[in-house]
Amino acid sequence: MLSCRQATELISQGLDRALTMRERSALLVHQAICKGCRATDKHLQFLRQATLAWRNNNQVPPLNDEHSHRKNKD
Amino acid sequence: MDSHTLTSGLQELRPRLLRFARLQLRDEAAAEDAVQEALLAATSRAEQFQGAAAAATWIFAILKNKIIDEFRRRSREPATNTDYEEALDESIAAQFDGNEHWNDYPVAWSDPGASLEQKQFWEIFEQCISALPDKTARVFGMRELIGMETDEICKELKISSSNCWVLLHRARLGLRDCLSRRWFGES
Repeated sequence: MLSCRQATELISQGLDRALTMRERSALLVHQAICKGCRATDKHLQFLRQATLAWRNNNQVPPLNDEHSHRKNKD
Repeated sequence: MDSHTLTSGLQELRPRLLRFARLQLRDEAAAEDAVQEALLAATSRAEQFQGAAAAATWIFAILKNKIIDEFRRRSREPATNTDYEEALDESIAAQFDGNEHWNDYPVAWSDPGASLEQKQFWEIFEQCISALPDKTARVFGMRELIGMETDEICKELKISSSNCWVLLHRARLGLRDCLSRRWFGES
């Protein structure tokens, strides 16, 4: 069973790399019973959305073929 | 594209470039230098651009490289505000109990998407990024503002990928707390 701290680490890493099947299921199991980590997941996804919006607002052209992970999540 | 059209186009681009450089380099003079160098490089190749959009993409790519050069240089120097890195680390550790479970559950933000439309939100957002300690902010900027993959970041800064993930985790939880406190109005 993941601790909340470990869960936040996986949530963060999920924005940077593809999590393994094992990691994803551990995270799902944890989040099913932990509203704090569900909220944290939403918060970190919002941060990603906000940095992309910041770049759009400032008309920064896409610089890389980026952020490919978890594109289809939710 | 003739050089006159390009020169006037570049001047319009300048504020955008500066804003981008400033948020990452956190130093006005360094941001000015990086932008100036990127503009100079572009001016000398004016005839290659087919229109303003292509020029902008190209200049941002140069600027990105200038910023990475500067980050690389800084990462070789003695680390700055390390106390602050530790303080942020401790404040994150303090959110968890001895079993690494939350002391206080983070709560969902109400309608965060609406914040993106508000000017004041962006002021707080930039202030929260600027408040991150240097090394943490550098990795966060490379990942989220420049859009690099973590393995490229590790290579540029000569750090391990686990170190990179630790710093990104720290940056994100730090930003989450800053926005919670300063924008979403939690204690």
